[in-house]
Amino acid sequence: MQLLLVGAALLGARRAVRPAPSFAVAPTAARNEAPLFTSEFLPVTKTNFVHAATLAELPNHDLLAAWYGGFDEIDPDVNIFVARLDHGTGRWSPPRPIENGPGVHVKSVGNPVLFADRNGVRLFYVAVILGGWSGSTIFEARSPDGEHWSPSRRIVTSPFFNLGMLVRSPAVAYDDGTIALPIYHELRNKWPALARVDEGGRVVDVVRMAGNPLIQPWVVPQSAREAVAFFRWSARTPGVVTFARTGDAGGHWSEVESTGLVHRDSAVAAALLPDRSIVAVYNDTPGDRRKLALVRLPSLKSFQLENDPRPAFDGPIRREYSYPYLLTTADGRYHVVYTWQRTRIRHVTFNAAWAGAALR
Amino acid sequence: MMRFLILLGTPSITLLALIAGHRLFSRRERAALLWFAAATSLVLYGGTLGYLPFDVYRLGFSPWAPVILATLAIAAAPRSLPLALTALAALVAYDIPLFRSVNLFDYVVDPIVGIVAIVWTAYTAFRTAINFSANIPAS
Repeated sequence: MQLLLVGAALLGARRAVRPAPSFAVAPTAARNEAPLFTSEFLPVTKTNFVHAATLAELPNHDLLAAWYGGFDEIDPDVNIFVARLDHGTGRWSPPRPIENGPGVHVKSVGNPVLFADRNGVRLFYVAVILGGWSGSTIFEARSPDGEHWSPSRRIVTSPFFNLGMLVRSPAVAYDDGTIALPIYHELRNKWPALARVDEGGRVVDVVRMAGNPLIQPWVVPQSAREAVAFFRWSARTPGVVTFARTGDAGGHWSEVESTGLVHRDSAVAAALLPDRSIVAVYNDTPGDRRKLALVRLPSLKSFQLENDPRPAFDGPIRREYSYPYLLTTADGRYHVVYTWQRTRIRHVTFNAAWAGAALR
Repeated sequence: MMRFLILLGTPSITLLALIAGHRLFSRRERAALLWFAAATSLVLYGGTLGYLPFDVYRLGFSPWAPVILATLAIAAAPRSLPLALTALAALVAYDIPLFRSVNLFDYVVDPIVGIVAIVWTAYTAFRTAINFSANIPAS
């Protein structure tokens, strides 16, 4: 018996040993090109509302976008939609629903996050099982091409009925084939965490990054080992966008610091500029989400993407410009998608030359 | 029903052992297993829900986790073979791995066995306290 126990323990210990990973980051080189800034709406879905768009660049440089839409949040008719931007023609395909519940009856779905690499596309999303968003669990579906999708599988991130963990920010690839998936906990207490997920969709480590009331970590790798993560201040009172740093590819995180950017309970997105400064998108208001700004860190120079002085709620109209998602593509362009009045998804494209001039 | 099954997640080896092997355990062994499950669950779920200032669940990903469980089982083996066999079954299930999780805690406890064990432990402790106070002779 003792020998069997020792053997089983050594086998398990050997499997659990994993070398410390490094981020697989692409260099962000400065390009000599004219400033570029464009804005468009993504194609309409015939739904009452849409929210929380995500983007991924496919190997052929097409862009894949996903978001969720339906009658309202946490409604059974909510679907996750995808649309594809043809790199050659510059046209978006009509959106189509691909997921409204992982093969079994769940209350609703939301917060899609796309991740693309040479093996295909992974779609992480939240499925609400009980109550509201805090009663959610994370699922994953896969596609070889962005067109055909596998049935969804559960991502095990919590021992307590696997409830309370959500996803909303992009994953970062590690050099060993695993990925760093930013997640956050909302059941009773809030905190951001980084889950290391292997190619089979198994979570092999979860590192807490900070504590209450910070959620929705957005990780920006700066080198193979260094990254900075920004957090949403999720409280009823206004706070600031905060950040923490890692020097060991997410294994440990520094104490949280303030960026000085005031906001209240709204999502933040960020990316690295070629000069090593950071461009972030956030709701620059301590109240609602009627303003949305691009800001450069650490200089805090900003550019207003949206600034709507009209009332936030006007009958059925919700003047909210929120949930920015920022992707840097291989051609050096920055793509922002965000919720526009909860009825459309807006897509803004700019390059480093424009950011250098507009955020100077 | 399906929502309920999703909610439950996967059962731990401890829960399966208590259900399937209830005749294998003596009353004392079952009590020891429930005390262990209650203590582990209190710390694990307390940390997960933010009642404790540290994250216990992460320890279940560590290579040391199976070593610690095997050490506890080796210590228990001379007194109880069924308890050592339960630990061995959990280790083997974790090695395969049998479930979606590669965290050893998910093989050792689950919320169902945790809630049952905590309720049973509280009830047993309460009953022991009542009996103890009833047996104190009046001065």
